[in-house]
Amino acid sequence: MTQKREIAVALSFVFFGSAIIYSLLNINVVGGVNYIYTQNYVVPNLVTAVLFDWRAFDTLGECMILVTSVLVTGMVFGRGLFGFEFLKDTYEKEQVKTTDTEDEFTSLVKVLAMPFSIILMALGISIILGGHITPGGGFQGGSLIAASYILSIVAFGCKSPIKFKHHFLEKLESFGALLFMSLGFLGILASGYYLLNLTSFSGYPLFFGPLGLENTGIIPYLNIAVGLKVLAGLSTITFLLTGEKVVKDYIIGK
Amino acid sequence: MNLLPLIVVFPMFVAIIFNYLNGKDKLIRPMAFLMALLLLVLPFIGNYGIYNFGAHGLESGLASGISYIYSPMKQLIITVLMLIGSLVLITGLDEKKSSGLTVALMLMGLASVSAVILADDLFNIYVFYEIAAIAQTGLVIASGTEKAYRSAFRYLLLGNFAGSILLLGVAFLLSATGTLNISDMHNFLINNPVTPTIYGGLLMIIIGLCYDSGLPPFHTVKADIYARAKPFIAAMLQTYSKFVLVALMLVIFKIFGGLSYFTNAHGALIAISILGMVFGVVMALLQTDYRKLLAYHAISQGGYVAAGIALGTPLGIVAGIFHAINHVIYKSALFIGAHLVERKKVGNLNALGGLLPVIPTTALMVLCAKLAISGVPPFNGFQSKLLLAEAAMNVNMPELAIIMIMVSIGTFVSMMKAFYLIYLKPCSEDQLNEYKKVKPSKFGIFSLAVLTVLCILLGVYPNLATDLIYPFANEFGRMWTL
Repeated sequence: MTQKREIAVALSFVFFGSAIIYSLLNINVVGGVNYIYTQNYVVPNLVTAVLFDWRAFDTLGECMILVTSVLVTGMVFGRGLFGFEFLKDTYEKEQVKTTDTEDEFTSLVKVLAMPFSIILMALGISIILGGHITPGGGFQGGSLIAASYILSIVAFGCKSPIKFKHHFLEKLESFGALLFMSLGFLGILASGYYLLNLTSFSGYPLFFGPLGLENTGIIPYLNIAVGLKVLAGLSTITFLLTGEKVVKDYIIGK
Repeated sequence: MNLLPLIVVFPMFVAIIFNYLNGKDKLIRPMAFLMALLLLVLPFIGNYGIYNFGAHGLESGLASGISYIYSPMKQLIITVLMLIGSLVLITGLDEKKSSGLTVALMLMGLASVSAVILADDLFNIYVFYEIAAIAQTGLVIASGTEKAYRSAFRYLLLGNFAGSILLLGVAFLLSATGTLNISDMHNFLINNPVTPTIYGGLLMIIIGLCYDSGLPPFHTVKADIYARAKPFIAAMLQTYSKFVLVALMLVIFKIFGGLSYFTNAHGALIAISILGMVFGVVMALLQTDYRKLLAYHAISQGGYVAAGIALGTPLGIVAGIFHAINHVIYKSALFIGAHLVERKKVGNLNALGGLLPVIPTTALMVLCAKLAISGVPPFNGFQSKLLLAEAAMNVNMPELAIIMIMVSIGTFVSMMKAFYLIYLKPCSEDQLNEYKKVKPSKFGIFSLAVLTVLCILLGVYPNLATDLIYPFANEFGRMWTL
C-alpha cells in the first residue's frame, strides 16, 4: 500500500514539475501595464511608487498577512486559547534545562555582534526614511532592524542588551498597522478614494520635500508605518520562539 | 461618497483593536456585540459599479491600479457573509473565556473573504486569500486541543504549498498578459494566441481554488479543520470556504470563459466537483463523530456549489450561487446546533441519546436544518437543488442530475441517523438528569432561530435571492449543451 502511494506521489510530482517547467520555458513576457508604471513619474524609486502609490492596497494586504501571522503565532504559544490542557501537558512533561551558562558563545562573537546590531539598526532606520528616493523601503528597513534584534538575541541569549518588551512590540505593531489604514482614510475624506496619494490636505502640504519631489505626498509616512509594523511583527515572532517563559506566562496567567 | 473599501478595511481596523484588548473580558463582550450589529450595516455603504483605489483608473486603455466591482449579486453574498459572521459572534458571547484574539481573527477572515469576493484584480485576490487561510488556521488552534494543533499544522503546511502554487499561477498569467486586472486579462486572452504559460497559470489557479474550498484532493484536510475547531467557529470556517469557492470559480470563468481552449479545463472542473460531492457524502456515512459527519457534509455540499457554477450556463450559475447561500445558512444552523449539544459535554455519537425532551426547541430547529440539507421542501435546500438538477438537465447531462439526487439521499440517511442517535435514542435516567443540569445558551438558540427562519423564508420565496443573481448570471453565463 505504502509503495503504491509513493509511486502515485512521485508520478504527480513529475507531472506538476514538468507542467511548471514547460510553462516557465515558454514564458514570453508582455509589457502591458508595466509601461504605465515606468512612464508616469511619482518618486525616484520606481518600486516604491508601485508599492505605495499604484498598488498601495496590496501593500496594506501584505501588512495584514504579517499581522495575522503574528496573531496566529501568539495563539500557538497559548495566547487567547479556549483550553490550555494540551499546552500544560506538553510543557510540564518536557522540563527543559536552562543551559544558558554552559553553551554560551565566546566573547569574540559577543564583541562583534553588538556593534553589528547597532550598525544594522541605524542602516534599517535610514533605509525606511529614504524609501522614496533610494532603493529600499519600509519592508526592507523593518526586516533589517528585526534582523539586528535577532542577531543580538542569538549572541547574548536572554541577557541581550537590545531588549524590547513584548507589550511594547505589540503596541508598536498595532500602531503601525492602524497608521497605514488611517492614512488611507485621509484619501476618502479628501476625494472619496481610499489610499489616494495626497500631496496636500485642505491646503496644508503633507510632505516638505525638496524641488522635484512634489508628488511624494503620503509615501514616506506609509513607509514609516510599514517599517514599524514589519520590525515589530518579526521581532514579536522571534521573541515568542526564544522564550519558554512567555508560554508559561500565558498558561499560568489564566 | 463611496465607502466601498470600508467593507474590507473597517473589520480589519477593529480586528487590530480587539487583538490589543485580548484578556479584558468585560470590555470585549459589549464590543463584540456592537461589532456584530455594525457588520450588518457594512454591505449597504458602497455604491454599485467600479471602484478604483487611489484614483488610478484607466490609463492608455489598461486599468492601472486595483479595482473593485460591486453589484447586487455581490451585495447579496456579502450580506449573507456578514449575517453569519454576526450570528457567530453573538453565539460566541456566552463562552466562559471570551477571547479577543478569536474575535480578531474572525473579523480578519470576514474582511479578507469579502475582499476576495469584491476584487477585480488577481494579485489582490491572492493577498487576501492568504490572510483568509492563515486566519482559518488560527481559528482552529483556538480550541487548544492536541487534535486541533495537529490538523491546523497540516492545513498550514498544505496551505504553504497551495498558496505558493497560486502565486506562481498569478505570476504566469501576469507575464503572459501584462496585466493583473481580470477584465483586461480576459480582453487580452481573447485577442491573442494561447501560450503554454497560460495553461500553466490556469492549472495553478485551479489548485489554489481546490485548496481553499476543500474540493479533492484537499478534502480530508479541510474536513479535519472543520471537525477540530469549536463547532460555532466551524460554522464561520465553512462560510469562508464556500464564498471563496464561489469567488474564485467566477474569477476563473471571467478570465477564461468563452475561450476555445477552456473546454477541457471546464470538464475537469465539473469532474472535481462531482468527486467532491461523492467523496464527501461517502466519508460522512462512515463517521461516528458528529462534528466530522457535519464536516464531510460541508465538503459534499461544496461539490454541489462547484458543479452548479462549473456548468457555466446562466441557470447553473444562479443555482450554484443560490446553493452556496442556502448551504451556508443551514450548515451554520447545524454547526450551531452541534455547539448547543456540545455544551452537554459529549462528542461521540454513540455516547449520546435522549436529548429531545431536554432541548425540544433546539431539536426542532436542527431537524429543519437537516431536512433543508437533504433537499426536502419547503426548505431552501430543496429550491437550490431543484435548480441545480434543472441546470444539469438543460446542458444535457442527466447523469449529473442523477448523481446529485443520489448524494442527496446519502445526506438524508446520515443526517437522520445522527438525529436519531442524538435526540431520540433511549438513554438512562441518570444521564438525562445530568443533561438537565447544563443550561442551554440563549445566544446560541437565538442564532439558530434566525437561521431556521431564513431557511424557511428562502424555501418559500426563493425569488428573494434568485432575482438578484439572475441579471448577473444572464450577462455572465454562456449557453451550451453537450
